[in-house]
Amino acid sequence: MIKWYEKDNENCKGVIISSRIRLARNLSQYPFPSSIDDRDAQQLVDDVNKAMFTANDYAIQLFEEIKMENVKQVDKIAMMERHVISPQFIGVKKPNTLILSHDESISIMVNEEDHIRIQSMQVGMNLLEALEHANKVDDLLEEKLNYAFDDKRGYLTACPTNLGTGLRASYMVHLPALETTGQLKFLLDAIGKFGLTVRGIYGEGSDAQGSIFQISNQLTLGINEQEIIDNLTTVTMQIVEQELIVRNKFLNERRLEFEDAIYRSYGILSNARVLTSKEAMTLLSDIKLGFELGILKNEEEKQINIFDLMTRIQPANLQKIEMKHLSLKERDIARATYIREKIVKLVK
Amino acid sequence: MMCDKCNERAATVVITQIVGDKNIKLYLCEKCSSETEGLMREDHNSFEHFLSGLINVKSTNFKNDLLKCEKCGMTIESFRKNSKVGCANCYSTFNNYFESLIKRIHSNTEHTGKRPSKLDGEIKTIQRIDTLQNNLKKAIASEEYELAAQLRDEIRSLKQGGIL
Repeated sequence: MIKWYEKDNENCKGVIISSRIRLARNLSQYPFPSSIDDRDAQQLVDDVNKAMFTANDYAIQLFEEIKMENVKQVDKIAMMERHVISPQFIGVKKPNTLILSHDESISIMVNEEDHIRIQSMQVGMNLLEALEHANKVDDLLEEKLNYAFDDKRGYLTACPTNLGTGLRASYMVHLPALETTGQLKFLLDAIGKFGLTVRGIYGEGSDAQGSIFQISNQLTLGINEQEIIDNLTTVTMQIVEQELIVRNKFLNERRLEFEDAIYRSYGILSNARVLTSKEAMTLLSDIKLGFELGILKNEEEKQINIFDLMTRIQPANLQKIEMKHLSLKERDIARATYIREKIVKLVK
Repeated sequence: MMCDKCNERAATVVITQIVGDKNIKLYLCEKCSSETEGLMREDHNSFEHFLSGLINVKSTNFKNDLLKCEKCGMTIESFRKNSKVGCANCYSTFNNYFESLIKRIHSNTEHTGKRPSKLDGEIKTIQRIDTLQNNLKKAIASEEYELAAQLRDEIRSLKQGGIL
């Protein structure tokens, strides 16, 4: 089945890579994951599975349970690199489980920081659809489980920063032009005033790689879901617009230098024998930009999904492709080979 | 991201080492970080640490420092350490404490978003039972026993109706 990140992304000229919704939910009868004991945690896992899969055609057809205890560490990290699970979920030692849709766009992490974390991803700018999918799962679980909910404080969560809606909405954006010109820093400082926050590609605590950032809401209480999404979208669209203005400026005023930079990156990727993931991400970011601005073209005149390639060359996913454990050095060699083979086919 | 040292496990901890005037960052897994000594340790979830900072402000003003959550045993002391609430019940046990903390985080204390629809059903049922019970009292007071019996049966069936 085609995964959500393999789909073509044609809106916003590729600046918005994906939209993500996360809902935090807890059951009223068990202590939150930081204090839950193994017996209750196992009961929680059973409860959620039962609520999800009992007499429910929608869930049975679209989802499967992935028992994390049977998943190898490298596969867990590969899932994290594909944004299927959070980095924190890898380290959970108490009984836990993952319920995942076949296209990997919807995941339900059980016993992460909260009892239930519903995550829904969509390619491009599509937060409303992502919310719709998350709500569908939420309604389904809510019908059969007793959520910890308080009229005043909303959904009760393990961290007070998620109280209220328990909703974190985010856009993953690719902002190479703003980053190069140093304008990004000012913009990112300013968005804090709108109750938003910016993180690196893998969320909290991660660095930006390949000029990719996640913009998300910080506040969850006192504003409703629609307001959170509207606020985030309005501010993000402003940033997208700025990015496109600077890109056009590059094209109009310094076209030759710009083309030169992109072709140099192409030159390295199509010839290099050793590539770290950080370097590859930076160069692929240039290639992505090159395609979006029509400097690079491919035979079929089709949109090229560079983001998909960026995901595949991450350490754990690369080892999955090679189907063996690779040392750091072996990975850098395998990465260069993999990209080289792909990139010469992509560019005309 | 993989651990810089062993390259086997996911990095969960950032170690910052200051050498001369240089700031060196190492991304390590739990195991390697615990083996690395003499380095300043900094948790990945810096926001949580920021949060702990908020929590500690004015902490002496709260008298519920000695309270303990009946359900999970959480104390304000333990919450200050890991910034994680123990269970849903903690929010009511330490109501005053959380009230001001929540206000500082969200500049707001009232939820306005989605509600579990089941809950609305329950609330409607509770309200309906309330109304019926009032009517029952009136019926008894006015000696309308036939009506009272009907009301009593309706209340009973609502209560047995599952969710209450």
